Amino acid sequence: MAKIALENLEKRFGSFVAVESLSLEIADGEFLALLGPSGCGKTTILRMISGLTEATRGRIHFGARDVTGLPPYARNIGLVFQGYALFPHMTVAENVAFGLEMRALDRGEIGHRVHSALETVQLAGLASRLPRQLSGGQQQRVALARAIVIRPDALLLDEPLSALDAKLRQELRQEIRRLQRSLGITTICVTHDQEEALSLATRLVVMHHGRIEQIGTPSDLYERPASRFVAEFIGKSNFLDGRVVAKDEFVTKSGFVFRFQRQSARASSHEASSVGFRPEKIEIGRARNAALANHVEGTVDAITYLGATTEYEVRLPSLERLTVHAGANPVEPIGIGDEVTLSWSSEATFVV
Amino acid sequence: MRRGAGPPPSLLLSPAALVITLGLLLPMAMMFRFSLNRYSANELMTQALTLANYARFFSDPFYLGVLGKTIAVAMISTFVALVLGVPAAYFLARLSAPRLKSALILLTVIPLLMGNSVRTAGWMVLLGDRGLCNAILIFLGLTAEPVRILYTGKAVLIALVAAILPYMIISLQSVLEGIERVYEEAALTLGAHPATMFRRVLLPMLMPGIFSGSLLCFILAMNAYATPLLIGGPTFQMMAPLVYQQLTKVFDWPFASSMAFVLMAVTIISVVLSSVFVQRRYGRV
Ligand SMILES: Nc1ncnc2c1ncn2[C@@H]1O[C@H](COP(=O)(O)OP(=O)(O)OP(=O)(O)O)[C@@H](O)[C@H]1O
Ligand SMILES: [Mg+2]
Repeated sequence: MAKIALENLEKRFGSFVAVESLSLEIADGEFLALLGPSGCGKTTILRMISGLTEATRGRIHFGARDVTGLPPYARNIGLVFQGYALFPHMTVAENVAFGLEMRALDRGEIGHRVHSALETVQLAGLASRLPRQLSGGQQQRVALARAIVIRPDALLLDEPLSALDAKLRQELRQEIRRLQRSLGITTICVTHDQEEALSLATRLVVMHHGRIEQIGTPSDLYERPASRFVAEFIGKSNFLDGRVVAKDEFVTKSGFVFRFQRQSARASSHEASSVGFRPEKIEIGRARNAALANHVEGTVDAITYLGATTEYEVRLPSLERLTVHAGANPVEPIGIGDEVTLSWSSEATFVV
Repeated sequence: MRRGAGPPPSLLLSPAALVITLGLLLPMAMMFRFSLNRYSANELMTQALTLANYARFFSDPFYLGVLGKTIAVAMISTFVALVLGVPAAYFLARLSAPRLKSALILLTVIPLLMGNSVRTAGWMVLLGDRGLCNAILIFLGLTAEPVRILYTGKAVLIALVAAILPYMIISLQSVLEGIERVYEEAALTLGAHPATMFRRVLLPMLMPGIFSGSLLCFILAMNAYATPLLIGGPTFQMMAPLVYQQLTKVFDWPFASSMAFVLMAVTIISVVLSSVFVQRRYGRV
């Protein structure tokens, strides 16, 4: 277990830059989620950390140890592959024991540690099964046990839950978090799934085209997205194009004036940018809420019942559309075709 | 699909079964019958029911020697082909450039497209007393007199390995293609050196390919004809040419038939024994 530091890490495949000058520090025991669309370089980063892919440039440190030039077998990492990659000719116990045997521990110690690792993932009863006799979720647990039993400096998870169904995913997510906390392993988890990232990680890294778009806590990324890309990637957002005209004022192309409090560094004043606000931060009603800074009127176009919330599709006179999420039981019933006023605060408004 | 509709699946086997019956089992039955007959100098073959031919084979040290040599050569050449074939097949299977890969696979099987005798004639040119090998050896001053390579066991072994190697490589490569790289990577990240990874992960997973490739090569080597005939010559004899010799030179059909049967039985027994062993050791393959 150790701090992981990546310094100007870069990977090129020919002339294609898969990961561009990436610098990142992951604290000892931290759970970091690596998030981004397909092909943005997430797997490549994990492969460089584990030594399966050689970095074109840059350095990798585990604590005080510079591992940049080390082969994977000398790095002491636990990697869980997307397809689990359990050895099909070995039983569950043999799979878990493999890494310990490579470390030449004595038999008693191996048996003891394998057993306790399998107990941790609640699979002690299946030790003598072959991987093909296990369900997807069980295989996942074995892969996890195999990775943690060697007490790695870093636990690397590449979309660990993507092959499982929603309910099992939820369950295993809890388990991974519990495990990570109790063992205190420095963990990097790659995922497509923003919900997974938000619920597991203490810090998130959003990647785009091999570069870091933003690093921050889940609420940082959600409340203060650094770019339109991040705002769109994490949760849902409404966007209207326009430009900043004053320190806290934004004018949309269609002429609405909105007050905002957060402006990303990249969106400089007077240049074309977008104003954004989250659907659930908007109040919908027949009258405006005068306590809030921003208002706009429109017509309800569509209503979708989502269980806990209801989604309203509102058309503005400018024909732009906004999405509103409101509690399922509104004070005043709203129907399709109704004229409504939307209100939201300046704190909930950001410019990117 | 609904079960029971259409012809039963076993019916689909019947054309193949017919061909096998007519083309293989029938001649074999006849051969077996011949092997129980008696040879006579003027009539060539007289009807009988005797095991004398088998008794003659198993009591003559010469024939037993040829059988032993055949088994030894087949086993050694199969083993050498395996040792040479694994790295080659691994290289082929893990090659990512698709063009180069097809080219190399084609190159591997090209020897199979030539006739066996053509290829063997090539080896004769290479290994003969005045062949290329000796020319090089003499040129380098490593030897003054030509070294006898042709008509020795070594030459037969070299040529046989070359003949069966493509089968071995293709058998191994097809299985390796199905073993995803991620297993190797998993082993490496768990701390296995490449050599240990190979022994503990790749080799057991490759077992079906090793088994089928070795089986194929062993059978081919046991029954090899052109290679031992042309390269072993009169001094290094193996079973298949010997059978042929009995058939066409001596015209002793009963004895030739019994020899053919011994060769076949030994091959089948070795195959069965080895598959039992492999299954015991590595589970189902
Ligand atoms: N061996 C390789 N040769 C050439 N290009 C590669 C290689 N491996 C990856 N790439 C490219 O590098 C980029 C990043 O790949 P990577 O696998 O890291 O993406 P990812 O973020 O993990 O995507 P996904 O979410 O789909 O798994 C991709 O555009 C991919 O095509
Ligand atoms: Mg990936």
